[in-house]
Amino acid sequence: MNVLITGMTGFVGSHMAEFCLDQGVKVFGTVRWRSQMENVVGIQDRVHLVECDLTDAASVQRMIAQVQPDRVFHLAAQSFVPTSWHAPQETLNTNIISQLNLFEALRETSTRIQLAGSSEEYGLVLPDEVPIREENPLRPLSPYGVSKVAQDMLGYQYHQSYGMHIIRTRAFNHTGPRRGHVFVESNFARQVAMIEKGTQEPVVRVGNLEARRDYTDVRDIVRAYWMSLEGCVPGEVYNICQGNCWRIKDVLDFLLSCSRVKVTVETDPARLRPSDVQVLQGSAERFHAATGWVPEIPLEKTFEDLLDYWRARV
Amino acid sequence: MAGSHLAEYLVEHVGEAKIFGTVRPGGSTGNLSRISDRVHLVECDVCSVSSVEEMLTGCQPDRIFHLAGQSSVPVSFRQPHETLKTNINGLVNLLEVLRRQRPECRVLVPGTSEEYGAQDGVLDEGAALLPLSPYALSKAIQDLVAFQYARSYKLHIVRTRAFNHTGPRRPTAYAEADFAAQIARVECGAQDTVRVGNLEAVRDFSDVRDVVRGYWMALEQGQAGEVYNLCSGVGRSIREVLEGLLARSAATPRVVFDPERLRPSDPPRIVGNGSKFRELTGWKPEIPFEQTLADILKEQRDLARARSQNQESDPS
Repeated sequence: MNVLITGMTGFVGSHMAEFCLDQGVKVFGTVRWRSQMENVVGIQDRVHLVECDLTDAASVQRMIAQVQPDRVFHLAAQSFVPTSWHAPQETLNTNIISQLNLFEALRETSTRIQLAGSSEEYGLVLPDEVPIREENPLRPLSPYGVSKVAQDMLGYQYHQSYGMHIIRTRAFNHTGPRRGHVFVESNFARQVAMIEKGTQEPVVRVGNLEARRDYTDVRDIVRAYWMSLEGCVPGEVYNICQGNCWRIKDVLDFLLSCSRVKVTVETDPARLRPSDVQVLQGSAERFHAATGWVPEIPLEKTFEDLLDYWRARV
Repeated sequence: MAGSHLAEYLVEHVGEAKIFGTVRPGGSTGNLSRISDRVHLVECDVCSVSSVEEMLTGCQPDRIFHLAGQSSVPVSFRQPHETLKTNINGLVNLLEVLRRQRPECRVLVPGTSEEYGAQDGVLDEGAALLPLSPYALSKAIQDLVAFQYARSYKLHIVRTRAFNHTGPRRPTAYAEADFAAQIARVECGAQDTVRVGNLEAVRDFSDVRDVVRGYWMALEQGQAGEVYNLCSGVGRSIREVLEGLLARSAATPRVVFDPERLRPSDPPRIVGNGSKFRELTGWKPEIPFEQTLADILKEQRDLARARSQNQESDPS
């Protein structure tokens, strides 16, 4: 079986590749000519890297003809919310057009395609809408969130129009080793590691600590993505999440409790977003019913592993 | 089509308004012939940021009706890239420049009932967005972009979802205008059949002249960030539209089904609940559908007659 992972050199992509290798399938991953390879150094000689610019239709068509994938995990995206505020056009174009190119190249095939949507699609959530189910109205509050809704609806439309085997998923927050330090929990872990090393003064800079996020370990998430192509109904959409929330402040406190350093916490106004989603807690009932998936890695272990990841790198 | 009708509405009913309209380089302005001395045409490519900046600096608008876009469903299946890029980039450019240059300017972002796709029942604004064509998808994305910019930057953006609207100047890329054009050609003896696609689809039709009045009212009275259906609430099948047009003609053409006209996916029924907008503004469609059909047919007859006269006077 040929499995294609777009965005393999990214955080989720690299974990997805490791999971697929363990299943004994042939793993292909797209890279751009200047992709950073640090996430895949450990598996580079066991996967097939294919150079491809997903925003270029001709490049995508050549890549698909070469790989002939049976399964596609479409993880490539501009996935950072703050960047989407500075570059909304670029975020929308990259995320929508890349996926459109992929669909057009796969239209005549029976390839199974998994789409990695996001809880950011729900955006503005009213208090009586928690835990969030898949039917909840989508009210995205950032250009990134809009772009993920667009990808989601594009998946629905191509399934409806052409009968393609497309599974839409909406993963809530996921983290673990290799998580980019632009994301809040990884940023905190990295700051703690740097303070331990003595390369940062003992001050942790923070943004909105009151936000609540439904975290799952990335290794549980990629297992869920794999299972989604086995048990889910094409065209349907599934939440993937733990089902309970961590307050960002509790994540920070937990990370600090894993360390001996004494720090002060300082609010940095630059870290507050124009409109931030306060509570994101989901229900994965539909996905559990379809696949039997439950998260297996406790979040405490996830955050410890994340801290160890940064300790080895700062 | 809608742009020219809106301009006429403003000329007739909003006397103090100075009206600017964008045209693409080389774009046609024939729809504006009745009011060409009352509107200021500005060349602008909405997909270019610098062009949008220059246009806004020149016009200094207080109200914007963003009607530019690729709006044909069949074209969108053939050109999904172009449709998504034009419709999304055009709006994002406009809102990005506005939030910096003229954040107080009001913007109407006109969506469509096609955003709802295939769902049972009469659709209110809370219905899910399940678009079934690249065009519908591009409009649903515009809808979300508009919502997000209204929330994030406190812009006065009002969204509408107009159900099918038609009338004079409707291009023949749309079924009802195409049927009328074919009937007019049958009447001239230029053809003897009317070719049709899916006649079973049910849509909620209003006259475009009622809809543009709704656009104006939505921007004057609608709440920033909110969305309003504009519809008649009456479902009519495409077959009824065809029969309504044929009933106005003495011709009796054979109706031929053409599978080329079917779409890869097509919502069977889209009928709206317009009570939210009606309660806010009192708006309701005033032009009877029979009048709309008569006007469309008259226009296509005039065009067919002009064409055949041209051919007669053409010495070649």
